[in-house]
Amino acid sequence: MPEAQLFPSIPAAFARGRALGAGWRLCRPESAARGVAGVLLGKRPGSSVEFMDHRDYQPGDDIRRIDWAAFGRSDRLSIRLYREENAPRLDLIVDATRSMDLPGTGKAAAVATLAGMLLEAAQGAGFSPFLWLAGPAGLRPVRQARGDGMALALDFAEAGTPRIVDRAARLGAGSVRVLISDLLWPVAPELVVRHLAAGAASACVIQVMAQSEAEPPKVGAVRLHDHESGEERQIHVDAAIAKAYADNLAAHREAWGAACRCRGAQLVEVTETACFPDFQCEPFLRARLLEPR
Amino acid sequence: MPVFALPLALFALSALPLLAAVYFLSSRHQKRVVSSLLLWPKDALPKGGGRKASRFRAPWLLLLEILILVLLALAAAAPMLGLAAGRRPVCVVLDDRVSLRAHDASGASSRARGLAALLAELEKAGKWEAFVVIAGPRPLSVGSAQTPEALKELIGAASSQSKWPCLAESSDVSAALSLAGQTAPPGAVSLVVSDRAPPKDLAQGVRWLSVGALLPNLGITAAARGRADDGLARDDRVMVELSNFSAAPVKAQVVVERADGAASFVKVSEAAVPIAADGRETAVFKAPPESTLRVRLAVPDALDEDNAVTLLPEPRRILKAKVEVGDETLRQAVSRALLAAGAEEVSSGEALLVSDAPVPLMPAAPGADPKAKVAAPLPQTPQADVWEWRIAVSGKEDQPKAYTGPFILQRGHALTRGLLLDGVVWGAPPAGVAAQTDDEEVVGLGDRPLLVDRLFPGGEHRLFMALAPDLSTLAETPAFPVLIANLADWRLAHEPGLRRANWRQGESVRVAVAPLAPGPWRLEAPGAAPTQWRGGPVFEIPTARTGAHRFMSADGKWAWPFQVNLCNAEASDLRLAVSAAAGQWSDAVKTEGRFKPAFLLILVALGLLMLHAWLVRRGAAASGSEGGFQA
Repeated sequence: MPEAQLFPSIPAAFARGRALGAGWRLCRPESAARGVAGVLLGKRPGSSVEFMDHRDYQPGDDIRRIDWAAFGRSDRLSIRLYREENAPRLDLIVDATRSMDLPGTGKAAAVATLAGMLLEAAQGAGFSPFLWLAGPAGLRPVRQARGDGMALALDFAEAGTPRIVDRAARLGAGSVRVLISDLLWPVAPELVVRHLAAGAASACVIQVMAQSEAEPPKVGAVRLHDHESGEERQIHVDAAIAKAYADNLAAHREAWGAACRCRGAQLVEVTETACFPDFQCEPFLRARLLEPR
Repeated sequence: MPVFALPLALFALSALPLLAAVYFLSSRHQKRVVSSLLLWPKDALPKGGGRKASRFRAPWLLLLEILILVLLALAAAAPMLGLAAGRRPVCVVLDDRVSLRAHDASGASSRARGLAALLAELEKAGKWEAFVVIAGPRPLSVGSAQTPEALKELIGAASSQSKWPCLAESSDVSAALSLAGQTAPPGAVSLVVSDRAPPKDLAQGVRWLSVGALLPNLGITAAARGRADDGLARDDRVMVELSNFSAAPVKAQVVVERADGAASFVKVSEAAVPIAADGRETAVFKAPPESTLRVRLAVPDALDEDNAVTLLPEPRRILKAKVEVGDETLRQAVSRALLAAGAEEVSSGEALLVSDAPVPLMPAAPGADPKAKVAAPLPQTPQADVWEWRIAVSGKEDQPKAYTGPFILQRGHALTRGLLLDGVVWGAPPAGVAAQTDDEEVVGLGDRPLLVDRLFPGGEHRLFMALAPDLSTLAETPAFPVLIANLADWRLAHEPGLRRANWRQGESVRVAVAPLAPGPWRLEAPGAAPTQWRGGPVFEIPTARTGAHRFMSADGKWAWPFQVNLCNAEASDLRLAVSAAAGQWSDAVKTEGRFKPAFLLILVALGLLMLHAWLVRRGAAASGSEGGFQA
């Protein structure tokens, strides 16, 4: 019988994630993360002082950008283009419902570790990190993005299905959006991913499951207790039931994967073993979400 | 209604709740907290019990296991079904002691009480089948009965056929129980009816009913009759021993009668013999010779069978001997010893020959060594068994020597009874007597035979003794008359007929018949059909019943009557009788003809076990493809 692993508390895990994130940097996507009045040069034309190119004037262009000198030399109205100067933003959406804190597992600690690490890695990469907690009422921003306030906000106390598609939430235009959830709620993945990727520079869905959830269940009579809803179901797990569970899990992941591929988003599937006892960076490197600092 | 030979095995059924508990505990649903029920199949209903009410799904495997366990427990309990339908086999052992005839003042005998107690005990046993065995000196099975009426009829028939007359002086209940165990079906219980106390180590399954009554009794415990010509008396003498088995002194009135006709007696004498409490007295009476005598107690008491004895005239048996000894000193010694032994010396006729003449020799068979000579055979006349005692008197030419021992005596031989040769000087040639291979050495000195016994096919004996009278003191020592007396007794024991006419019940009557009629011989005993006897030359006749007997040849030419009387102190002592009950019947009851389905139950259980294994295997296989076995 394997020795039961002890997982840190959520604040400790969050702090551990912060420490881990100091060695990583959030990758900037090909389409540069856009922001307002940033300090990083964008890859698109903008309003910075760094000249980038000319183009022909088109009606509606700002006439203040007309290069009059060039007009004098070539008698053609052209517009001076300057490189865009932006401030990239990370919208980190964390499923804060009760199911993420599954008793007896390191699921919540893994989520806290990943959140802390992504926030720290984003800051290290010049991103402006924004933390959103997804609950049944929608997305709730966590104002204090730094310090213990964020960790304390991760209490996973709300019961119900997280409502990610919350149009009232003001996600940043052109931001890097990362959703951390177990994705174990009845919803069409396409709706969630489409909303997540809409207007984003990039989107990534990180599915965090407990190891016991990712593996086929053991044979035996069990009384299932839904930690989220409190619903119970008695079932005798045999080989067929275990296979059906594995098939359902694979189908579920495939549905999310298809939705992500359709929207150009990344899907990272990890369990608590990705964070404990050591952080496993390979899934995040493959998804080009993180890069060494 | 089945009967279980091993009912304790049914305790195995107590494992059923344990099995059910194990089953339900193993199938109890353990709580498991999950993040969502999204991935779990909704149509996977539980197999066994649970907290939620759902359509009843019988746990067939559990029921199968329970059935197997029940079958095995029943098989282990060895059930018996059958034809007798619960009829309990009972070995009824009836004691045949004469003391069971003892009756109290009301006239009720122990035998009658025993029969009533037997029926009452059987009534408590429910249905039964009694296998009745009479416990006399030798056990006798008389049959079986299943109802009280049939049992009464069976015992009544046994009584009328003298199978249970209660006339035995002793009984072997152990042998009767053994015979009953062989007669009755295996596992039968036993019920002993006796008037004696049960043994301390009463076996399991034996119920012992003692129905005796402690009664005072006066009985004749010994009786003998002497001949008028035995010595100087002109009348026969009758001796009776009277025993008082009571705590009070009594005066016994003894009457001696002689037979007058076939069934009547005439009083000869009478005497009153005072006997102390628990005492024993001997009374001697004179009686006319050659007539049958009856000695009886005039006052009846609890046991009538020991109140009278019948005494026949004792036969006159005198050994005739012919002495042909040349040595005068030796001859006189032989004659004196024969006279002391009660033998009659004759000069002719058939008699024991004591001779010092050499054994007549005859040539060996044709073809053998012509120098070899063999002793001439004894005359083989049918009615003459000639015994000889040849004394080979050694002269100086034999160079005899005097030997002082140690002498080796064959103690199993009749001649050495009470014989002591300490201090005897025995003169004999160095080679001793010329013995043959088959001769039995009676007296020897190392490897030197001094007296040998040679047995001939007709039963005759020829004794050879090597003796040098000049060097011997044998004839002057007490050993010599002892030797002659033993010879006389031994010879008389082989004389045809009875040595005594009056015997005590339980003794074996010894009858020698050779060389008379070769047989068969016939025994007439009271209460029994005549029996035939073959063989010989000596018969040992058991005396199971009291009364007048007669042993005779088939043609009636030879007949020897003899009388058997009780004369047994233990049988007369009614204070040994007790009234008690002991022992319990075992519950392990078996009945003849029952069907024992244990083997069949085991077969069925094995079949169900195979079915169980097949179902489990099929369920396991189905679980991998179609969602598991749902019995």
